[in-house]
Amino acid sequence: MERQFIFQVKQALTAVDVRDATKPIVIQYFRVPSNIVEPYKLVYDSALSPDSKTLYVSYGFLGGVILYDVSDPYHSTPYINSTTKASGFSITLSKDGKKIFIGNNKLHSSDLTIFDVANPSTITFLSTTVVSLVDPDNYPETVELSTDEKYAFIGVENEGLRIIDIKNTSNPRNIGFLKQSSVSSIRDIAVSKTGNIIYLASSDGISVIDIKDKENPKLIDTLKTGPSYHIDLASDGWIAYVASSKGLTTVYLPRKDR
Amino acid sequence: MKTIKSYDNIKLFLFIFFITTLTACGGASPNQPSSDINNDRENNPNGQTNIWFSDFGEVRDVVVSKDGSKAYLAIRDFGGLKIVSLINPKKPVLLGKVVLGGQIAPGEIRSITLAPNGKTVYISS
Repeated sequence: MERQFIFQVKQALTAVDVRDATKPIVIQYFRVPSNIVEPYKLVYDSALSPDSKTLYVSYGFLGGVILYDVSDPYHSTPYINSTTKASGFSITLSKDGKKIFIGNNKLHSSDLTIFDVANPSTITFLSTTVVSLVDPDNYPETVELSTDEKYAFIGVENEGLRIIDIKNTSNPRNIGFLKQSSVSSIRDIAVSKTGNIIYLASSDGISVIDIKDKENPKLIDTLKTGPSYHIDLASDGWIAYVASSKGLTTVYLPRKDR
Repeated sequence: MKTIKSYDNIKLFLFIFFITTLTACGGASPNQPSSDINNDRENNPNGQTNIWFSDFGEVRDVVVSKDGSKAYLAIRDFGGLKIVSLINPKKPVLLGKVVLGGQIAPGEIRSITLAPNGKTVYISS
């Protein structure tokens, strides 16, 4: 009984008020929804709508993606009957917040699943495109969109980078692929401000990939940042900040890599 | 005697030249104003610099604010969030931090999402 109680109160998401950067305050622990059972209580990814009022949380495997109303971050509540029924791992939203792109893994198949979420209480399925074309058990670790939102970039575990044409979100197409090195594990993707370059954070560091030709992505540089988990770019696109096991790394990007 | 003095002057000149060159190659000092940092970038557009900041702990995720002035770091071993100033990108400075507490074990922290309005951070574990 005691063990069961511990599982019930364990939170997988924490909200922190950061309006005063010198005094961040924990304001809410999110309870895992009761319909999600062990061992699916880990949060794999989350994304926020442009108005900061709807939070999408992926619980992986059978947990799916849960939507929360966070209009009041101090008292967030999950929407009722609004799970997407996708086993979400990595998620990203379109800029207008009307579509969600989910790196999805079912048993023996990984795919990019797209939903229309213009109205969070009535989610509409649009399409599914298989992305684990080498081994069906490889997970989609990360999903990002091109700056013009015509393409989706997916880092697939043990395979590499998949480029999906999403100009028609009801009928996406696999168009490009770049095999990852044998030892690296892709964790995150960032797109340059020019839209011509993407950066893959992996156990090898940062791989810089030229994507001007979406059907033939090319590795053009490798930044030795050590095993890296995530990458984010400064708004001007000149500097990359990398989260790694060695700490925070600042990288001034050379012109050819921007 | 005159010859010896000239030799000393040459040594002094070389010493000053060496020190000046060393200082110029040493990069931005921690107190360098941000305007100088920007000039540094514009004057060296093809350059590349990697600097490690291991003193923040193992960083599992980083998100930069829209204006680029701050970064939010999910720290694994600390079990919480650290916010750093990026006014000098080469030398981030800690502004604030908070341990998540609750039922989260420190090793479980994995990612950060920053609300577009910049008021709230959501940390996954």
